[in-house]
Formats: sequence, structure tokens, C-alpha cells
Amino acid sequence: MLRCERQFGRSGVRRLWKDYLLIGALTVLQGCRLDIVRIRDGNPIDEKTYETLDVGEATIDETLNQLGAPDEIEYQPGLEEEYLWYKYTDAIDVGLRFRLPTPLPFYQHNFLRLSETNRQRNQLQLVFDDAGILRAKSRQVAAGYSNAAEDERGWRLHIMPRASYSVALIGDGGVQDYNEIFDDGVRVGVDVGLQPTPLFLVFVGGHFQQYQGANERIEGQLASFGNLETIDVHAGVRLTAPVEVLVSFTNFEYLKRLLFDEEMNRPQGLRLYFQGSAGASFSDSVRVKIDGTPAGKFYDRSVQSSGTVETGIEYGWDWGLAFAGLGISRMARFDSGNSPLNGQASTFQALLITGGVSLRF
Amino acid sequence: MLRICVFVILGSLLLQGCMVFGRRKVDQPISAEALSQVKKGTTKTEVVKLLGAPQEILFSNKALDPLREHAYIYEHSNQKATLLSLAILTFGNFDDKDDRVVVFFDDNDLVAHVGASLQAEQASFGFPFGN
Repeated sequence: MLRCERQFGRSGVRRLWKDYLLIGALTVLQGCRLDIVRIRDGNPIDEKTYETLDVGEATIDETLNQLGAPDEIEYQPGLEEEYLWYKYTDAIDVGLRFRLPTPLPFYQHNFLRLSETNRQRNQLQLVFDDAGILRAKSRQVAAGYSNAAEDERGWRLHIMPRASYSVALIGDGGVQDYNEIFDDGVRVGVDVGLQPTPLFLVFVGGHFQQYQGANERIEGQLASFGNLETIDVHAGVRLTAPVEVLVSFTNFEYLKRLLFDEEMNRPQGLRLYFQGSAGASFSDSVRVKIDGTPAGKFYDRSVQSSGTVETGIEYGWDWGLAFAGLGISRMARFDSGNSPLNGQASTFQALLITGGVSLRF
Repeated sequence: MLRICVFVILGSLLLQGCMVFGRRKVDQPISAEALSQVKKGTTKTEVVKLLGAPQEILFSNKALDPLREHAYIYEHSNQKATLLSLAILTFGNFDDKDDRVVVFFDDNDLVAHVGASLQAEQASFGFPFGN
């Protein structure tokens, strides 16, 4: 410990401990895994065609032309009747696995797996007499999968202008906490997202953010800091779900419909969202004056990794949605400049109130 | 150096994800052109010439002629698998679609009816969501 302090300094040791804790948490998290797997087997059955088949009138030729080849055929001995079956299976498996955590990307032994599989079949049964005339028909439709409409437009494009106001800055700015060095700031930007499903959106975007420099008395001298300005680019993922999920998350049937039957084009009402993004930030130098005299750069220009997590509520209409939420933005520490106030800064974090709209195309 | 090691370990933990695309085809695809030549009245010999040997033969089960070949069944399946594995989340999607042809014969071994579904090429990669 003392050797570490000599090598990295007291604040450096604190940062290392944080890193080790993060590694430990991620390693334990690695031991948990949520699996969502869907298996579709066979050719979907055209229910509209089934409705048009009239018993006593439809012939086996017409039926085969409209429905295609049956999946199963049976001749009843002595009865001279032909049975045709059309089958389509849709199975969903949702499981939670607990594994031996290891940071190495090879075999991890599962020691517990909790899963629920729902396998449902749509099927038609048609009976033809020896003359090839339909004598009976019946069907079974799996309720969980019968209502969703096809979305012919496929993936949706989102353009999401957004603005944030920082209510608190967190972290050691070098000589003082960031909260003392800068006043609250603003962040504006735009994301462009692609939405393959109602629940899931991937996006890329950029922000400009500015934090007003503050005046601070340090060791009897008045230090006046310049503004902190950064530009970042990032990529991220956004997950959304109806608010009801909070009270219905143990209802498997509800979750199944939520995951698989939501329609992309339906106005979606009030929903929760959670999003995370990671990327890089370019920060301009921050100048400082001591007792009114320019004293060089407190932070130098630098490029550092950055990331944001955010959660909130959104309300959807046909054209898109509006959202408001709370987030934490993080940038790795800035490079020290050449001012006499020089101190090594830690990670910069800002607590943000965010609002914006998403235009959907 | 130690800090670089920490970043490398962190990175390897966070980036333990992968995307897998897989495709499995079983049996020969069925030629739509050959299938279009199989019509009512085509002989069994011609059917075999056009479509090849069937995967399965359905016998009549009739008491008088239990071994009469009632129908030939041809199948070809195409499965596409997509697997997206992120840090603690796995999405899997397996879509299995078939080409399937059933050729029914009458008592004179001539084609009586043909049922065909050629959908194997419609199997798709994707997420497990949606219809």
C-alpha cells in the first residue's frame, strides 16, 4: 500500500481502488446472463385463405393451390378420407443463467439456469373425401402470436435533437472540485437512431457542452477559470418499455406480448426509457487568471473517452415522441495545463436533466 | 503500466460480446422451373425425372392395395440463425423455412394434385422481436 502511494500518489491509489472495484463488479456481473431466444419452424399459415375454404365446395386442388403443400398427410384406411395438416411452430425461450464468473472469454460453467419456454403451434386440419371435396376443417391459432400486424416499413429512422442542463458536477478538478471550478452548464446535441423493434433503438450522435468558469479563492488568491467547452461523438443503445412493465414484470404472458407483439406503428403512449452511450470527447483548453492576471492553461486541449447513461419517460405519437429524463455524463480526466495552479484532475461527471423530441420516419 | 493493464482488463470485460450468423441447408433446393412442368396427368416416371427421388413416399393404406404409392414428398429446408451476445444479454433468433412439394397420384399412377410451398429462401436473419 505504501509502495503504491509512493508510486501513484494518494489520489492515484484511490482511482486504482475504484478501477479494481469496477473490475470486480463487472466480473461478478459476467456471471449473470439473460437469454432471449426465438425459434420459428415451418411456413406461416395464411388464415385468410383458410376462411375462404367452404366445406362441401372447396376441392383439394383449389386448397393445395392456395395453401401450398401440407406438412402432414394421412389416409384413413377404409374411410377413403384424406387428412391434411398445415403446421407452423413459434417458440420463445427466456432464461437467466448464473455462471462461474471469469474475466477470460472462454468456457464458463453454468451452475444455475432459470428458464421458461413457450412453444405454440398454429395448425389447420382439413379433411377431404374420396372425390376430393372438403368435408371438414378446423384450426388452432396460438393466441400469443395472432394479433401483431406486419410492419411493412421495416426499420424506423429517428432524429433526436436534445438539450440538457447540468444540476451538479462531480469529481476532483485538480485544485478544487469541479463544482467549485465551473458553474452549471448546458449540453445540446442531436442523435440519429435506427429502430428495428419498438423496444430497441441504436443511435449515433454528437453534443456540444459548455460549463461557465467560476471565480474561486485558492490559498488566498482569486482564481478566475475560463469556460469548459467540449464536443463529443458517441454511439449508444436505447431501450423502452410501457410504464406497466413496473408492475407486471413477473407476468410472463405480458412480457412475451411486450417483447414480441408490439407494433412499431402504433402510437405508444407513456413509456419508460433507459439509454447508454459511449464515445470520445474533445475538450478545448481552459485558461485561468490569478488575481486578474492571465496564468496560462489550467487544462490543456485533450481527447478523452466519455459516456452517458440516462433514464426517463417518453410519450409517443404517430410522428415520434417527446422525452424527459435524468442522466449522468462522464468524461475521463482532462490533461493538466501549464498554470501554477496545476493539479491532477479526476474523472469529470455531470448530473443532467435532459429533454428532447424524436422525429420518427 | 498498471493503469494500462486495468484498462485492458476493463475493455476485455466490456467487449466480451459477439455476433453470430449461421445458415443450415438440408437437402437439395426444389427447382421452380421443374415444378412448373409437373401437372395433372404427368406420369410418375416424368415426376421423378423432373424432381428426382422423393424424400418420402406416402402409401395408400387402402385394404385392397396397401402398397400403392399415393404421394411423393419433396423437402428442402433453410435455417438462418442470428445470435447477438452483449455483456450480459443474449438475443437468439432461429428461422427455419421450407420448400415442400407433395405430388398426389391417382390409381393409374398419374399426377392427381400438386401442393407446393417454396418459402425456403424467405428465412431471414434478425432479432427475436416482431411478427
